Amino acid sequence: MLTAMLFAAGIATTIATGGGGSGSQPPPPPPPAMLAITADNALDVSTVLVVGIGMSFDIGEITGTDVGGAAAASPRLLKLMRVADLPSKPFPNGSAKLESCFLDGTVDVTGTFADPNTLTVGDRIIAVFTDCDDGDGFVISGTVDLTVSAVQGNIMTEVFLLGFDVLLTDVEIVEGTSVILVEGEFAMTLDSLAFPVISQRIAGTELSLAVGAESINFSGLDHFIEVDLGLMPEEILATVSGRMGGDLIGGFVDYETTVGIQAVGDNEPYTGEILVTGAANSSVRIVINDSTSVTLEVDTNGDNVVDQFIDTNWAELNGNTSTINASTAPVIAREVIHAVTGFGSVAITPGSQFVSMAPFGLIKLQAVSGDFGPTDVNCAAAGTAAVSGTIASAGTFSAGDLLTAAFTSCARAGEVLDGSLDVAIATYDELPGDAYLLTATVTETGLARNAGGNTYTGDGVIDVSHDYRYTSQGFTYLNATATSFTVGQGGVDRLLSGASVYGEIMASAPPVTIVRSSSGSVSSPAIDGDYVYQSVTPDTFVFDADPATGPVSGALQVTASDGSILTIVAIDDLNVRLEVDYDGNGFADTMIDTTWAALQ
Amino acid sequence: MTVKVRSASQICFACLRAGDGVFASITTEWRNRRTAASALLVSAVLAFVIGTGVYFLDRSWSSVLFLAPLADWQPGSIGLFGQFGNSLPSLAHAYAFALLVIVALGPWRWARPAGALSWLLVACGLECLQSPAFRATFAPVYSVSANLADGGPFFDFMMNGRFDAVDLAATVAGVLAAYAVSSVLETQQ
Repeated sequence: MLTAMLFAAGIATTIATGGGGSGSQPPPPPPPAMLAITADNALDVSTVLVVGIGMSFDIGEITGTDVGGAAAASPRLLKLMRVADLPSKPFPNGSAKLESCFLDGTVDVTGTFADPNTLTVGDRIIAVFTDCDDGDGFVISGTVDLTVSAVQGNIMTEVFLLGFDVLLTDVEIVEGTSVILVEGEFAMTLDSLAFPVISQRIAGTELSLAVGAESINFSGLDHFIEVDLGLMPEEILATVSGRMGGDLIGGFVDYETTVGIQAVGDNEPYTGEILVTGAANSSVRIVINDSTSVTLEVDTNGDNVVDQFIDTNWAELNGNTSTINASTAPVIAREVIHAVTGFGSVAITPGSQFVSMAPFGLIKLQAVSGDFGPTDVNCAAAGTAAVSGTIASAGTFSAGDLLTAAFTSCARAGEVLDGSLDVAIATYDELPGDAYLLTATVTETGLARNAGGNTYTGDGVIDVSHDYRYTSQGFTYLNATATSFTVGQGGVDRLLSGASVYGEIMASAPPVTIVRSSSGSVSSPAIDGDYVYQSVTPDTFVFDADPATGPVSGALQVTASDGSILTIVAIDDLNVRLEVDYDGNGFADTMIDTTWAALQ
Repeated sequence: MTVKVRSASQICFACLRAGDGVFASITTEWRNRRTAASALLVSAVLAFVIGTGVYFLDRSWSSVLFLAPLADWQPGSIGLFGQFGNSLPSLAHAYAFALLVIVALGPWRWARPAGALSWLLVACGLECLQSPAFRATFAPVYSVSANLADGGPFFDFMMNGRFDAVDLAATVAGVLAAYAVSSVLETQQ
């Protein structure tokens, strides 16, 4: 009895002290002091606040619902929790369901429901994500613990109100090369009772966001965003208040919207004010002039008189500090060229695997149906591809078919492939003579394509449309888009956002000629910030195996966040000109003549 | 000499009659044991007090369940224990409770190994429950089966605690120290 009591006391004291150790953390430092806002740090404080607030809404979106889109009817929360189909799959109390995420990873969901057919106040859902990739452009790990605090309306319709107490523990969100660690405890309310006006409020104790060794901590936060989906484009209103600290600014400040922040569609806000207050009533007022420019009004001594005005812009406040000048232009051109060429290279791969001499085409000829594979098929020139998947009808493809190919030095028609790709077919229209129109969602995982003397690897999800119907003699057409995609080359990963490529490929007689238009934005370890690129004139690329050559014609415009512009103009297959417009006024300030080889 | 015991109440008298030598031996051993046990108890309590002192003097009270209600009155961390304060509570707690269990198991011949091993398992198990792998497995199941709105203190312990191999090592060291120190019980026998 005495021994049992000792064990109970020992366990109780262990729990009461949180486990004895401090996790090898040093004793907690004294509470951070309120930060004195000065002319020197006002921009940094404002940038951290704007980025942090944006991230908090992103967290809400990931945890809850995409209030910025038309997804109110299918909250991401429910999708993430895998209870969107509650009525069809009643969730037994206390049971755990381990499910695979759409693309990769798992989510282990445990729930307690008063009514297994719907959500009720007091219901609890705990989701433990493990590298879960639902194809939303990010991968999530960690524990999301939700307790339902309010329910109104019908969650299966567009009109409802849901309140949650949210506890985020060790949540890691990986988006491209960016890794955000999140800890938080807050209440979240999703309200679409006034649909099409929907809103999200995050209010609570704390929200801690860490990127690398740098962190932003919110406490006493109240972040509200309202979207009117009835307008096109939608109108957005946001208000925020709370306290922000963290080692990024070395103290804490209080912030509050004094004029509601308003935005339209995907544009930056066009009006609104945020008052940020630091030590001794020092402050910076973030005044939004329009969807481009912002003025910071700095009061360093707290006398309510502006001591300094700082003109800035949204790109800078969003932490995007990209700029183009004569010294950076060659490096930026190189990174953009590799991003554009690489994306085109790996985007063309899936569709071309359906011709009769390629792995998927060979599987079709074998009249396979149902679940199959992996089946090794020999590639046309050398190497193999292990093909598996599900085909509904033998001898053809149709919507819903899933195909996977794992390539091993698979060589054909001037290309060598390694790595793997998964193809989920949306449509497949077949015509006589090895002709088809394919639309599909493709997931590439370390897919390496060596062609034209260069090797590019692709990682991510691409929506492709590949037209092999030869409606014009000898031409095929490629259209590919990706929300987020990584192109690797030479040991460097370039992260593409909103990437698209349209190509007309003339392959009936050598040499293969590609006319290509591209757009998107790119960032890479070699360049600061994001750069938006857009074809001004389509590239015409005569395909050969010499990596020192480039498009014989075409122009690609690259824009930095500060408005500076670089135009890459192809002179011929060996030479290229870089036109640098520092101030973005449409006139080139510097021209750099170089070669495609120098930009490799 | 044969001692016939007719009832349990006669045992003590039977011993007395059996001879003063046997009785003296038993009472001496009992006295020594009691002295040794007292010394061990004092050392366990001291260790417990030192471990608790770390929380009072060096830690943020708001992060400790039993001190959280007093957090507003915390005068400020003085950092008395420095880096040692990181894992000293784990070591002291393991030492104190392993020792107490050993003493409680009393004169049983396996008291030392059984007491030390059982507390080692409990303490290490609790520390491991704070590791992400265990937490991911047990926390949801526990919280749902416990059906507590906020998960309760044990859930908080798992979810908010931080697994640390150094704490684990300190726990092992504390139990080993208790095992070694408790050898005084045997040497006094």
